[in-house]
Amino acid sequence: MDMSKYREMFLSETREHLAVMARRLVDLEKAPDDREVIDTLFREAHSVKGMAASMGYQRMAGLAHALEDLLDGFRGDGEVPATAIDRLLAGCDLLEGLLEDIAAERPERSIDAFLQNTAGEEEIPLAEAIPAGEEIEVLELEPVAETIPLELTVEIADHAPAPAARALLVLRELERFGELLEQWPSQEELFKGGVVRHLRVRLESSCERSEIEAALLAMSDLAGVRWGEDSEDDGLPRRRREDSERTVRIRTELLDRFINLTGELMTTRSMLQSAQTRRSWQDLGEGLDQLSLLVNNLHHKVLEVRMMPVSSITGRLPRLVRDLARKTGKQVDLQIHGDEVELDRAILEELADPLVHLLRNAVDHGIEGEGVIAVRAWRERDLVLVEVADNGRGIDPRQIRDKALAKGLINAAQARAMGDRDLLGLICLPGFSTADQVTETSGRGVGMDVVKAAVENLGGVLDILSAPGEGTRMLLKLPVSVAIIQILLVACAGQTVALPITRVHRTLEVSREQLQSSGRQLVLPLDDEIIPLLSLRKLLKLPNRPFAGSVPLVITELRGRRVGLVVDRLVGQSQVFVKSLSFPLDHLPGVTGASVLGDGQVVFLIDPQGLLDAVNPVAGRAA
Amino acid sequence: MRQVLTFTLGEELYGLEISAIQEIVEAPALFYIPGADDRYLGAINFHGSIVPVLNLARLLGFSETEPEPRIIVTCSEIAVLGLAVGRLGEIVVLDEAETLPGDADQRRANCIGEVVALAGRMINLFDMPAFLSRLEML
Repeated sequence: MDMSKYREMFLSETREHLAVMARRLVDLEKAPDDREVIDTLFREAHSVKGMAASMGYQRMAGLAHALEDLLDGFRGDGEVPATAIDRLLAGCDLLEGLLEDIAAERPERSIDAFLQNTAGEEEIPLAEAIPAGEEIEVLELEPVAETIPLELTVEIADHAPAPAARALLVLRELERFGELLEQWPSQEELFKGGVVRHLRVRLESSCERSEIEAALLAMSDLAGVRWGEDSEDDGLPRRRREDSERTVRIRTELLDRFINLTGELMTTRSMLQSAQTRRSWQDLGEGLDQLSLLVNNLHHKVLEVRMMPVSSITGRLPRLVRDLARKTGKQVDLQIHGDEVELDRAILEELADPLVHLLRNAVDHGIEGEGVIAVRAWRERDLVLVEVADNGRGIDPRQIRDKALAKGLINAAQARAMGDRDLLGLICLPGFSTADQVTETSGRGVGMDVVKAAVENLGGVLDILSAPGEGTRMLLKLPVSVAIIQILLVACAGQTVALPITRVHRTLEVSREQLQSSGRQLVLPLDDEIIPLLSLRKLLKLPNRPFAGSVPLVITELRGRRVGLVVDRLVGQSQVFVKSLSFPLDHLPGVTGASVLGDGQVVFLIDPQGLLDAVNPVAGRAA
Repeated sequence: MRQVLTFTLGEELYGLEISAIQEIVEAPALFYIPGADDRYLGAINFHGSIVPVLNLARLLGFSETEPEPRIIVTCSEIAVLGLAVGRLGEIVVLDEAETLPGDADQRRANCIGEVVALAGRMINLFDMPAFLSRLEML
């Protein structure tokens, strides 16, 4: 158990180091003789090596060491040649690959090809890669002839007395045959004792299986030995990837403030208690005022723990833009401003992919030949704004209109009614792409519709500002925290569900007579627009009922179009603390979170688009 | 000492290791989960966490009548689940139990780790990891 705690720390810290390396390498490419950058890179590689070695991840440590050596060669004599930078970049990619392997609890991938392909003059003799007497002793490069790690599971007999001790003996025995790479349960757990039925081991050994098996079976109290990595019946379901990223580091200063707040809360409690014994209404009132102040304060501090700087997701962008620019043969200068601005970690996690997509678009469709892309983040009241702006060719609204017409996404009447801003919004419709041909960089299926949906799911808004020849600005307006939001409660067939208020354009009640039928679709004429109606009962697969009398509607947007959701009853609004869902609820389509209301009732937040896609997969995609 | 909580699913007797159980909740209020099918009975407010309640009989393909109102809440690093079962039985100690032979693959398909005989009764030991990986595939 303890080891896994360190493992998560290792994963998150190494991720940070690698992000810094990726960023600094791109800097290095621009200024190959920048001593400070070289020094930073050297230190980062050194840290990765140290951490990996202490965790026993030998390949990662070996690779980090090779990179460190390569960098060390340039610390004295200035300029780093382009070939060496390419090699460093490739090395960083490989480190990231190794980290993924470790996070997924797979064996580390091979690094031999990288180490052997020493790209010209930078020969790193394998034998010298690890100078003797360095502080890291566990580090040993693997023999060139690679041995494939063996996986085996040793079953300990049910009747074995002290099975944990038996397992430890098995480990000692196995060490005679080679090197133990990994094992479950860990030594620490085994030392604690308890019931152990299986011991799973990854062993690097040049010995024959039969030889090892014979030695093991000669030991008493063992029921059997199984080979291979059958993860199904080892009693250890692989941890899902997200689980390994659920740790936060907190500044100790913030922890101190928590302690102080706790102290004040305790004082207030005694004050309230004594006010109650003395039946003093005035003291009771004052105590309650103080309590609510403290609770507010605590709430803010807790939210602070969830905050992370934008730099945690922009770290990889310079590298991305560099690679994209290279691939497309363009000259792109990426500028990042305000990445110290903080956002809720949940928002940042959801923002990483859309940001990458916006940058791809900017390089691919925005920049012509040469240009600047600026990623900016800043705070405006209780919003954080993130902008991706390029000074490229810009978007021509007329071209968008023609294309949307040609694709049948809008009709002629709609096209006439739309202003430039609305037309730009059309690029967020699924199936819309402004590139005349699909390009390798951004024509891979993730469209602007996905970006828009991601931003809106976070309770944010996406604004597109552009004019021909004047560049494009994609502006993301995001709430600082997702945790507390305003919701609209609606009822259907006796069940209550919630919609984030940011997704609701308006609510209204209309009489049945105002509804019209177009084809088999019920529609509502509203503000010069014909709005299709959808039954929330149907989306939720609840029993249908005919509309009658007054029909309550929630006007929302699905894939860029306004629709009316027909509900049974509008219950009201509420400000709630949203909990993210954990497995298996997070697998349900169209359900994005849940909240406990003041009376203890649990309500789920729905995303009508997700529900629609689940009910009607084909139409949902093609709409 | 290996202890299991016994419960019925259909006609069969199952056992769940008590180390996998966090709490038994008496008839909690079940809240509606939008769009979820009948394998979910709803969600409960479990000390402030939102925990889904699964109809175990339905999930494992037993034709079940009303499940018991008491809910087993499991503890696991992967997922905290509420399990609704046929009838809750007693807690038994397995030290005297005898493991019965059988087809391991078929058992795994029914989320049974091992079948034991104790005092003339046959108990299917519920295989939590297998159950979780089955849930992953839903």
